[in-house]
Amino acid sequence: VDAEGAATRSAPGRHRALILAGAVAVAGYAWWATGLRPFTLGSLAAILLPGVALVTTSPNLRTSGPSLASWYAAQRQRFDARSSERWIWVSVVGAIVVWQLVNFFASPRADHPTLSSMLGAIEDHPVRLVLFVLWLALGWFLTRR
Amino acid sequence: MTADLTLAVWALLVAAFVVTEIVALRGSRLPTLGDLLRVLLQPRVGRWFLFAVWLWLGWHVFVRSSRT
Repeated sequence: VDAEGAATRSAPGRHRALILAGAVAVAGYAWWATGLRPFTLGSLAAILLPGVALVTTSPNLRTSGPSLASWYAAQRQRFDARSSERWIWVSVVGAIVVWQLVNFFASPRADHPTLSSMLGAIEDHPVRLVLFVLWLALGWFLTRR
Repeated sequence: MTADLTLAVWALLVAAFVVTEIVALRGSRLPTLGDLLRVLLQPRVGRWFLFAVWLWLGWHVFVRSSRT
C-alpha cells in the first residue's frame, strides 16, 4: 500500500518534470532556430521540422469535419445573428490588412514598414526566441483544436 | 515624418487589435480570436489552410530574415 501511495504521489511530480523538460527542449530548439543564418537549409529545416511533427502527431488534420458548403451556410446564419459583434473584428482585421497592403506597395521601405519588415528587423536574439515560441504555440493551437 | 506617421498608424491598429481581444476575453458578446479561429478550424480544408498559413508565416519571419 505504501509503495502504491508513493507511486500515486509521485505521478504529479513526474508530470511536472515532463512539462519542465518539454519547456526546456522548446526553448533550446527556439534558441538554436533563431540563431541560424537566413536562406540556409538549416533555417528552412528549423521551420519544417515542427511542421512535420505537428502533421504526423495531430489527429485533427486527418479527421473530417463539415463540408465547406454546409459550414459556410451555418456561419452565414451565425454571422447575421451576431453581425454587430463580428463586424468589429472584421473592421479591425480589415484595417490592418489594408494598411499592410498600402505600405507593401509604397516605397521606400524605411518610410513604409510592413509587419514583416518590422518583425524581420528585430535582431535581439531573446526577442526572436519569444516570437519563435509564440509561433510554435500558434501551430500547436491550430493543430490541436 | 512619413515613417513616424506610418508607425503611429501601426501602433493604433495594434492597440485596437489588443483592446478588442481584451474586451472579448472579459466576457462581452464579442467573440475572442480563439473563438474565431475555432470556427475556421471546423472544416478540414480550413485546418489545412490555417496550417499552411502558419508554416508560411514561420518561413517568412524566421527563414527570410534570420539573424545574420
